[in-house]
Amino acid sequence: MSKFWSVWASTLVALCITMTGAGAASLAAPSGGTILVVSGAITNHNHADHAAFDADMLRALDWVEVETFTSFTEGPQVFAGPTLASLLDAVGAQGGTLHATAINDYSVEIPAQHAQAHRVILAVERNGEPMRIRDKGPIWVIYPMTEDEAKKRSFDREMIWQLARIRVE
Amino acid sequence: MYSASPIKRSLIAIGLCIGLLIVFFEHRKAVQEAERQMVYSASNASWKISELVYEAQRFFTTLANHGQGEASLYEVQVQFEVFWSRTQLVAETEFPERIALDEGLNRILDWLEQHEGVIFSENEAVAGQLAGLRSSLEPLVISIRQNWVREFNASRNRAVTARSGSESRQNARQEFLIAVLIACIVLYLVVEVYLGTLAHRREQVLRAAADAANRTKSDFIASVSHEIRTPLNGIISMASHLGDHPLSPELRECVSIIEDSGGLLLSTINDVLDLSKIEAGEMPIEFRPFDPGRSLSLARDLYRDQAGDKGLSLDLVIQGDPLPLLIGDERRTRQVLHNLVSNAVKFTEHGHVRITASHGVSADGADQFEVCVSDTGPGIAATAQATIFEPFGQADASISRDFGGTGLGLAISRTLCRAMGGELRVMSTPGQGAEFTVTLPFVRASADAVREWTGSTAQPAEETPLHGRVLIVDDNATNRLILRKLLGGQRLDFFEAASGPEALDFLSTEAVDLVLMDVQMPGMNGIETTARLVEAAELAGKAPPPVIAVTANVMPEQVDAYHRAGMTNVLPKPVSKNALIAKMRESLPAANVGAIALKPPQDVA
Repeated sequence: MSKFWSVWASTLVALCITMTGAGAASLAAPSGGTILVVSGAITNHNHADHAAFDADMLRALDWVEVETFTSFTEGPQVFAGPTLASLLDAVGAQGGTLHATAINDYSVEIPAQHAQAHRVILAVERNGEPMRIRDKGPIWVIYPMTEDEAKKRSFDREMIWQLARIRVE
Repeated sequence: MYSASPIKRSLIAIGLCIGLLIVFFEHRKAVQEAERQMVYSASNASWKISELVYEAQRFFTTLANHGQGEASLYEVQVQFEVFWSRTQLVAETEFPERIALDEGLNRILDWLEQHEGVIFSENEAVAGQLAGLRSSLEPLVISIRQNWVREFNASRNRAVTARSGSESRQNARQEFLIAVLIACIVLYLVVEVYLGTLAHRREQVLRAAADAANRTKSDFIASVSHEIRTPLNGIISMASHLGDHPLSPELRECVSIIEDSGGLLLSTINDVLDLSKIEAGEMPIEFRPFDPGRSLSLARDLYRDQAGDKGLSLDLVIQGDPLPLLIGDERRTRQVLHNLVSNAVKFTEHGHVRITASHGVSADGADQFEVCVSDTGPGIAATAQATIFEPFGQADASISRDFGGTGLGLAISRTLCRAMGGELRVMSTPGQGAEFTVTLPFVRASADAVREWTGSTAQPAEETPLHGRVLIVDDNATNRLILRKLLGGQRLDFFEAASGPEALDFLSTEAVDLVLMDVQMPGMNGIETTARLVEAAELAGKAPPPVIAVTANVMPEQVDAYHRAGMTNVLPKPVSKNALIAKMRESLPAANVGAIALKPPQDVA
C-alpha cells in the first residue's frame, strides 16, 4: 500500500516539476515526516508560505549518486541525493542567495548559482545508507570534489550538515 | 695571503646575502605556517567543544520540557541525535594534545549507546527513565569542559615555549644556517675592512715617499741653481766691469764672449729652474693690476736694437681702443712676450717682426687679451709645430747650434699661458713666416689700483748720482766686491760685513743710510739679521735704515718673509747695475737722491 502511495507521490512531484516551467504551481503536500522546509522567494508552495519536503519527495527530484572526497571524511565517499538545482526548480526559487539552516540553528549562506556551477547535491545517503542525525544526516550539502580540492577546504563553509531549512532571498 | 679578487669577494658576499634572505624567509614562512596551524586547530577545537557543551544543554532543556509536556518525544530524539553528532565530531577531530579528552569522550559515547534504547523506546514504562538521564550525563559533559579548559591553557603555554624547544628540528637547522651565513658576512666585512686599511696604509706610505722624493728633487735643483748662479754672477759682473775699462780689440772680443756665454748659461739655468718648478706644481701665479700696453712697449724696446742690427723692423700695433688695465701676473706675461719676440727676432733674417695686440670677447663670451707675434722668418714645418712646445723640442736639432737657446722657452711659455688660464698657439707655413698667438682671459683693473701699484716703480726723469753710507752684508767676498764695482759711478761710502753678527756689531756704533743684505748666509741669515737690526734701532729710539734684500730666492712667499722681517726692497740676483741703482734710489731717503743732494764732494770718499 505504502509503495503505491510513494509511486503516486513521485508521479505527482514529477508532474509538478514539469509544470513549474509553465508557471506558478503548488506542490503536493508531504505524506511522510517533513525533513526539509524551503521558504522565501519561491513560487511553488505546499503550505501557506513555504514548501515542505519529506524523504519521498526528495527522492523524486533529480536523484544522483557521486563518489567524492570531503575534508571531514577519510577516503572516497559515495553520497546520494537530489541535486540542489532540481530542488530550486521544484520550488521555483527566485533569489540569488540561499540561507541554509541546520537542525541546531547553525546557518550559512550559499550562492544559488553554486547549484549549477558546482553540481551541488543534497546528500541523503552516504555509502548506501541513509544518514542519521548523529552521522550528519538527514541532509548534508555536498560539493563533489577531488581529493586535492577537498584538502583546500574551498567549500567547507557551505557544506552544512543536518540541513533542515532553506530560505531563498 | 687572501688572494681572491675584489669582484670575486663581493660576488661571494652578495651570494651569502641572497642565501641568508632565502633561508630567513623560508624560516619565517615555516614559523608562520606553524602558528597559523596552531591557531586554526585551537580555534577549531574550541568551537567544537563549545558546540558539544551547548547541544548537551539543549538536550537537557528539551528533556525538562518533555517532562512538563512542552516538548514531544521526537524533539528529544532529534536533540539526542544532534548531541551524538557533536560528540562524534569532537572524537574525530585531530587535537594537538588530547589524551585527557579521549577518556571523557569515550565515556560519553558509551553513555549514548547505553541510553539509545531508552530514547527510542516506544514502551511507556521506559519513558519514566528519561527524567533521570540528565543526572548521569551532566557530570560527563562538565568533566569534558573542565579537561578542555585545562588543555587549552596548557597548550597555549606550550605554544609560547614551543619555538625554543625541540618541536621543530627544521627550525633549529634553519636558525643555525642563518647564524652561519651572518657569521660569513661579518667575516667578509672584517676581511674587507682589514684589507682596505692595509691598502690605505700602503698608499699613504708610498705617497709620503713620493712626496719626499719630489721635495728632495726640488730642493736639489733649487740649491744647485743657487750654487751655480752665485759664481756665475761673479763671472758676468766682472766681465761687465772689465768691459768698462780700455781694452785691446782682441781682449774686448774675449770679454764679450765671456759675457754672452755667461748670459746664456744663466738663462738656461733660470729656464731649467722654472721648468722644474712648473713640473712640481710650485709655480705661483700672481694677480695684481698691470698695464699690458706698457709690458708690450717694454718688450718692443728691449729687442728693437737687436732687430735694427739685423735690418729688421719691429713694430707694435694695438688694434681697437687702447688696452685697458688688467689684473694678472705681469712678470709671467712679460716672460712669455719676451720669449716670443726674442724668438721671432732670432729666427728672422729679412723683413719684419710685428707685435699685434687686441682685446675683445672670445668665442665663449669671456673677455680676453690677445697678442700675436708674427714674423717673416723661415716658418715651421707642420710636423714640427707640435714638438716645438715640448721641452728641448726645437724644430731642428741644428737650431740650438745655429741660434743658441735652451729649447725650453716655448715649453715654459705655453705652460705659463695655460697656468694663467690662456693658451699659446702657432700658425705657420714653411717659407712664409710664423705667427704665435697668446690669448689670456682678463679682468679689468680699476685705474686707482694700477696707479697705486705701478707708481712705486715709475722711473725718475732725471738720474743723478746717489750718495750716502752703505753697508754691504754678504758672506761671499766676491759678491761684496761685485756690488761695490757696480756702484762705482755713485758717490757712496761703503762698509762691509761678512756675517749677520758682524753687521749688527757694526751698526751698534755706526749709522748708515742703507743696507744691502744677502739672505743666504751661514749662521745668522739675512732675514734674522734684518729683524734684529730693526729691533735694535727701535730700542735705541731711532728709525732703522732701509734694507734691500739681495737674493736669488724671489718666490712671492719668500719676498713676503723679507718684508715681514723689515726689509724695504728686494733685488733679485743676478744683480744688474740698472736694477741695483733703481732699487737704491727707491729706498734711500730723499736727501740722498737727486740734485739737491749733490752736496760738497768732501762728504764723499
